[in-house]
Amino acid sequence: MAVLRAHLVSFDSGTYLATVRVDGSAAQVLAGIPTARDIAAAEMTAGRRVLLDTGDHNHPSDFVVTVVYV
Amino acid sequence: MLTLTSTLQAAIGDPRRKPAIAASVQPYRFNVPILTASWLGANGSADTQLSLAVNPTDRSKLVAVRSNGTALDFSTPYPSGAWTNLDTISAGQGFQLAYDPTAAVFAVAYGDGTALKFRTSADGLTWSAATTIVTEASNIGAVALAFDDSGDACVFYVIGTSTTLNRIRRTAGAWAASGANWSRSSSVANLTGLAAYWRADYFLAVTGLAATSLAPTAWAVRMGDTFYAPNAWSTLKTITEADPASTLTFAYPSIVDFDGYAFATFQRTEAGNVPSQTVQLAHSLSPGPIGLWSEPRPVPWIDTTHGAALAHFDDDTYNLTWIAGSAYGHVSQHPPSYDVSARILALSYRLTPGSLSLRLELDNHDGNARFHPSADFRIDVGRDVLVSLGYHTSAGAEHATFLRANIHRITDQIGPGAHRLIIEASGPWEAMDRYRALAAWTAPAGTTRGNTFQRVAALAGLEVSTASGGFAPSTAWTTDTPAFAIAAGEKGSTTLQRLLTVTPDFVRPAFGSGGLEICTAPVDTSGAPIFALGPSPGSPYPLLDLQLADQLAPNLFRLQGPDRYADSARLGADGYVDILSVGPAAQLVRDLDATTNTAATTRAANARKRALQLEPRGRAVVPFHPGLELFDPVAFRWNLNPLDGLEDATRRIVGLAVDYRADPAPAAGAGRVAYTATLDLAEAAGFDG
Repeated sequence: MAVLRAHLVSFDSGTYLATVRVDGSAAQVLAGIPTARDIAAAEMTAGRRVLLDTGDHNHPSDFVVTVVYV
Repeated sequence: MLTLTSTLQAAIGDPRRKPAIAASVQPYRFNVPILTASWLGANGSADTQLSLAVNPTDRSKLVAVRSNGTALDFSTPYPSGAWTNLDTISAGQGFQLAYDPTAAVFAVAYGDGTALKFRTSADGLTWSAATTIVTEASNIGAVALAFDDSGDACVFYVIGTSTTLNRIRRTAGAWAASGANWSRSSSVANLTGLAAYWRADYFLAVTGLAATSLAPTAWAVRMGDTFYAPNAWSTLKTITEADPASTLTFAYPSIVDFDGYAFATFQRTEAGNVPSQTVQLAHSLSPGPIGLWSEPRPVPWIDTTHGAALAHFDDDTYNLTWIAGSAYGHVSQHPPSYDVSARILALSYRLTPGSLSLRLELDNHDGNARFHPSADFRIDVGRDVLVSLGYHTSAGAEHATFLRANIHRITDQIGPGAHRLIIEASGPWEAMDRYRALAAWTAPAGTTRGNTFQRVAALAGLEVSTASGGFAPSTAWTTDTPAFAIAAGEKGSTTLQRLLTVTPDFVRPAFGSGGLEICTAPVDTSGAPIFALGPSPGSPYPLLDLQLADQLAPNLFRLQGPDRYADSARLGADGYVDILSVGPAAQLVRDLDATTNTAATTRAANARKRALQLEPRGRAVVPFHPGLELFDPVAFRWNLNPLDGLEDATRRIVGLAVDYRADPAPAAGAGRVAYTATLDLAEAAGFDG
């Protein structure tokens, strides 16, 4: 199960979907990533670091932002 | 199975069969030309935009044009010719130099304020007075120029950095009265760079911002002239892109044709932390001349902020590509292939649906095996090795199997009385295994499974083809549109394998072209070649060894969708030891695109069948048969006890290993040459639905 480090680019508190830039991906972000509901929306500010669990399935709807930190 | 001549078929069963083996090392990577660099020279130190063109009949006639502030200069020959002023323009206006093969002149088109101008020169030294092709209402930005092979030309130019990209044609020597805007203005937010070449149609590299998203992007686009309807524009094909939140931009494109592949350079600017300016190089891959592009890689030997110009020369003797940025020129020489057939001591390869490894052992008694005898070409890692296998027949050396692999290791083995060069090469799966995505990528909604597969493979520089006839892949490749995303650092082979898992299809190396071929395995086994132990009617090929095995294997597959699951179990009817006898050995497959009961059931069955079909359950050793491919059915007959009668079995090839070793003492006579194929065999019935 791949857990990747990323930076939060933006967050939609209505849909609880995040746009993140995975470390190493200078050119492209991943958008529409479901975010753990136990994370308060107020904590999801751009630039913060997050953990992204990809589940090793390559399906973007199956990715989850599980942690926000720093 | 490949079609063989009657003489080649006869040779396989001939006890005096004589192998025909050839091998060459080529300056290609999986059939795509490799660009290398040799220092050409410097011409001044100004950091400027360049454009290059070469006389296609005289490689010494290389001309450069640059814009140095407001000065448009030329250098002939480049880089030794002094920079000489050609005209004065507004700083930053575009230009492109090209060669008109019909009139045998160099020509440059450039923006000069609101005027689009054009000059020609037969020798690159003496230039005609400027002709104004058209005058626009506002300043002209980027400019591109290309000639066809009958003297017609087309200039492409942008109005400022707007979305207006005009083309203006010269037909039978006369320029059109005005430019006509392309049909892709709504796809872009602005345009900053242009370059073009002609090969039946016009092909352009374009930089700018995408519409709506404002994503900095380098595109390729095609305008019809021959194959496309005249003046029709293709959709924009992304060479590379960055999201608008990134700190990357792209500019100063250049593009040339090389063996039917488009090679493009552009400037990549990183304005964020660790700011950098790099020239990037990418090449196109099929389908289509500009359909998919490799992931751009940096060109480390050019230090500029204005991109690098490309020019290409190809005749029967020389094959050269120039890459020049600012004042620094480099040339890439493409030598002819290096035929090492006369040095082959041994050759072996092993091919499975997920791997290809090849080992070539060359005689290096003189220490020169690595070096082309007459060209400046050395065998190095990263080059292709192309092997051809067959037999000597009454028709001469006949080859039917062609296999391309890319060299990953070269060993010079020195011992008492033996000096050998060992070349180890691997196939497209291994290349995908080495590839790590440098950027995340999300397939646009509606992208088919096949297109996603091709896109990911193209990033690693590999082409994907689809098999035809009975081997044509399932509709999963053209009708499935799975959501798919890759994160930076992911292994290419893993991502491709996930796309395969829930389909009934397979991948095998595309033999000659070196890429990947998507195929299925036809149920029909009626055309299977027959190998027999001992005399058997209708079986011309000898069988050297046969092993048929049963073994434990996964027998229960559960496919988990987003809100449903489906199970598929191996049954006794498959001819296997079933789940009730041996207990469950389950595998879980996750597929969030299985959103219907039918999809979940079908894909669970596909996953089960794939495992069954790929499971070797026997092995045969036969004389090398140059027609055999992965997933071909093969039949065997044997009769160990005359009282029992003839026994037979039909299996499917899921692994193919070939071993050849030259006769160590040819003078001693025939019979000491090894030339066999070892076939990993799966149950043919497992492919039957």
